[in-house]
This record gives sequence, structure tokens and C-alpha cells, in this order.
Amino acid sequence: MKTVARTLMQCFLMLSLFLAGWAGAQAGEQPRAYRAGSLAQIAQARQGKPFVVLLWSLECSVCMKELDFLAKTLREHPGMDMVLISTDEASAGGEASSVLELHGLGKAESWIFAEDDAQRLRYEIDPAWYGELPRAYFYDAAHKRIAVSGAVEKSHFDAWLAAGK
Amino acid sequence: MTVSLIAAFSPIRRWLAPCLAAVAAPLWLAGCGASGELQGMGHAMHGHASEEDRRLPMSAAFGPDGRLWRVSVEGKQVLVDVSGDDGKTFAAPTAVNQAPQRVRVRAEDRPQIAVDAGGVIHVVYSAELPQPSSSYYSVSTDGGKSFSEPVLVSDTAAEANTYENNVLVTPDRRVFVFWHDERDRADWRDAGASIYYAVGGPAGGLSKSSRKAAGDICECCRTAVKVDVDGSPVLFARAIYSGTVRDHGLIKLNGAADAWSSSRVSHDEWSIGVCPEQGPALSIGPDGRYHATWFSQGAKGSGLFYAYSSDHGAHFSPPRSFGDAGALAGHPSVLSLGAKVAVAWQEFDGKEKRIQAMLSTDGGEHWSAVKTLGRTESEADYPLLVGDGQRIFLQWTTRRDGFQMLRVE
Repeated sequence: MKTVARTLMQCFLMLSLFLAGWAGAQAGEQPRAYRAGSLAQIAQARQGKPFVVLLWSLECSVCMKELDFLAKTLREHPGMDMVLISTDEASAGGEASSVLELHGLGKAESWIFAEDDAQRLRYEIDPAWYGELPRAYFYDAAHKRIAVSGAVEKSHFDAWLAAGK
Repeated sequence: MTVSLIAAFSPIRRWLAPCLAAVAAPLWLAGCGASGELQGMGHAMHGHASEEDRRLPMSAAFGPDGRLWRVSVEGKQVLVDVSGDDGKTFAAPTAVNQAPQRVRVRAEDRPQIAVDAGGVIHVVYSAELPQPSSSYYSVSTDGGKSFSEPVLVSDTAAEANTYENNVLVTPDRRVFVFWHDERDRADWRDAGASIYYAVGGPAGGLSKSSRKAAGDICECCRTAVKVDVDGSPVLFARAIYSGTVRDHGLIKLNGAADAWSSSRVSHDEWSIGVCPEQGPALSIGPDGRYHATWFSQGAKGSGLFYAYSSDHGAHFSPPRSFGDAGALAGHPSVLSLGAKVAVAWQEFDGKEKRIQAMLSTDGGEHWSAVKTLGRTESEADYPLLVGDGQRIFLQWTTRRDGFQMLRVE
């Protein structure tokens, strides 16, 4: 049984995280507003460099385990360039930031869908993607990419890192 | 070994919202007024709700007198309104919840409505509190003039998320409310939810204790729920087989009052740990034939499929593939009037969303050529087939054209 004090402490911690996330979102920091053209912008900023894009949602419980694994991967490879895109509504930006913070991904570049027509945004990312989550794209230095539906695993990262050497 | 912070505490989705709500609820109340006035989304409010402010995912059902009842959400209010002209025009809406709530409205998790043979209107929806998602039930026994105070349907509402609700009325006016429930998960981040339900009658009064219909259900796909010709409920859901395979199964009452059994219907072998957010559809004709449609990306079957059963689900016809996989064919709906059966689905080519349909006049044996029923370049809801026993309509809501009921035949 949790004590009242611990519950209050947890609430305080959560609120601090949430408000920090919310304040960040208000200040135009994380998560950034993902609109049509955002993926091109993300790639443009990484000319000649490999990176990974991970799409997730607060509604997707399978994604939560993925976030833990991603945080661990980032700790093992501190230089890895990882971009997280939440497919939730933009109004959930504060909560999305709090969740990433809790999972140790507070420093990763984070975006959230910011247009009403999510289907259009998904199509622009990948015309063959039905919207299942989690979804990952491993870009090589030439920006050729491999798509993965479902939780990414160590083998995906190992193969991608090995190919980039 | 690292222990995630989230694992050390209750999951964030379980208690971030209640913590926030403790702080924010007074603000909402202050902002909305205790009367729960409507909160427009950037539009000026003139009198009662304007259609433009409503969220796209809605549900509609014909009542026994042929009028069309609709449930929708605007701001923090669930609204019910009625149409006497097959959905062309609606009377002023009635609010279901007097106190404002943060209602969850997603295409896969929308408010649902059912009208029984006596005209009693039953509504279920998901809203924040006490969990990030909690299922509520409300009833109107005065022809939609007023609704009872919404009640939580789950007997563990304070501890576990509930969502993706369905409400079903039987010909003898029994009521079944079904929902996705997270109570059985040891670790909330694991795949799989359960379907629980409560029962009631024409006066509302849902049973307090929740009962379990099935476990190992895909946690993010809507369940299809229909009444068989003998009055018993039949569920069709994406389930998780062998730990990872997300195929479809029927869930039926097994004779006894509370004994349910599941039988697998699709064998597409979609073995993947994802949230597809594409629940199946089911229709049971007056002849007792089951008609099922579903979506898969399996190793043995990929795309949209249709199958029928003439023995109440014991066996199904070989799955028939349909839809243009090159245009993301998805979110199928099916409706049977007996010999006449319609299937509708959505396609998207990057520019235009199309609702495609095909018709059968012999109970699903043969099908017409594909016909386009609607197109839009604006944001659009899934297609839903709605019938009054004689006619089949496509319920489709788009940002540009609003709520539409299009005749399918």
C-alpha cells in the first residue's frame, strides 16, 4: 500500500514534470509541432548523416516498453541521432513530454502531430504505412531508409550501426 | 540492470491524469460554469451547439419509430440529437453529461448509442477520470429530453483504464455494455486487454459487478458487437493468439448465463507487437447469417477480407479479399438485411479519401463491382454502415461536408 505522503510526492513529481513539459511546449521547445513537410525538415538538418525516426503514441501501451528500450540504447550509444514523433493530438504535448522525460528520453528530439488530418501526415511519411504503432525508420547516411513496424529490437540497431561503419 | 522510473511507480497514464485533475478540475469547472455550458473550439457559440464544433467520430442508430438518433461530442459535452429525415436535419441536441468532462473521442474509441424497442436511449462513452480513460453509461427514458447522470460501468474504475465501449440492446430490451479493460494486465505496458461487460434493462440500472467475456484481446482495436437471431450477444474482435499473433475471433455466450467461449475466425498470422487501431466489423442478418470483415497485414493474409457463416460462427466461408492495397484500403464496415449485404471501406491516395462499397444480393455469395460512395480531401471519419431493417445507409462525417447519411443501394 502506498502512503499518502508517497502519493503526494508522486503527484508533485508528476506535476513538476508535466508543467515543465507544458512550459517547454509553450516556449516552442519540446515537442515541436509536426506538420506537412516536417520530415523533410528533419532530414535536411541531417544531410549526409544517419538517424532514426520513431513514431509512438500515448495510446499505445506497447510503445511504452519501446521507450524504455530506446532510452537504454541511447545510453549505450550517446551520439546516436534519434527523433521521436508522437502521433497524438498536439494538445497532448505536455503529457507526451512528461512520458518521454519519465522514460529517460527527455533530451531526445521530440515532435507531435499538429495538424487535424493525421492520415495525411502519415501518408507523407510513408504511403505504405497503415498507421500501426510503434513504427520506426532507420536512415543511413545517404538517407535510404528501412521501415520497421512493431517494437524495434537490438538486432535492428546493431545491423544499422554496422552498416554505417 | 536498469529499472525504468516508470516501472518503479504506477504507470503515468494511470495517475498523471488524476493528479492533474485534482489541480485542473476546479479550473475546468470555473471555466465552464457549473451548468456545463458548451465550450466551442475557436468558434463563436450562438445558442446551442453548432455542427462545425463537433468532433468527427460520432455514432448513429435508428430507433423503433424510424427516427435516427445520434451521439456526438463537442467541447466537454456528450450530445444526443434526433433526426426525422434520415440524418439530413437534426433537432436541438440534449446534453448527456451536465458536468463537463474531458471526453475521449477517437475514430477507434467513439461514443456509442443504442435505442431499444420501447424507445429508451442508451449511451456509452469514454472520459478522463478517475483513470486517464474511464467508461461511462447514461440512459434516457423520456425520449431523449433528458439523460440520467452518467455512471462508471466498471467495478474497478478507480484502478484500471476502460475504453472502446459498445452498447447493445436485445429484442426483449436487455442491455449489454462491453468495454476494453486493463485490469488483468500484470504490467500495463504488456500487450493485450480484456473485454468486460455489465448488463441492464430498459430503465437503465446497469449491474454493479463487472463480468469478463474474454482476455488476450488486442488492446487498441474496437470490438464489433451484434445480437444473434436468438437474442444473444455476439462479439467479433482482434485477439492475440500464441502471445504475438493478432488475428480475429468470435466471442459468444456458451449457453450458460455467464460462460463465454472464443473461436478463431481469421488465420492471417499477423505476428507483430503493434497497435493496428483497426478493429473488425460484424453483421448478423435476419436470416441468422454472420457477415464479418477485417483488416490484416499477416504473413498468410494481407489487406481487407470478408467471410460469412451460415452456422452461427462455427464455420466461415473462405475469406474473400477486397479493396485496393495500393490506396491503404482499411476500416471496413458490413451490414446485412438478409439477402442484401453491403460492405464499405476507406481508401486514401495521398490526396483524396474515398469511401468504396460493394453490394451482394445473395447473402454474400457474389458481389457487385466496387462503387465510390463519397470523396473528400478534408479530414474524414471512418465509414460506418447503419440500417433501419429495410434500408442501408453509409454514415460518413468529413470536415468539409459534416455528418452525412448516404443511401447505399
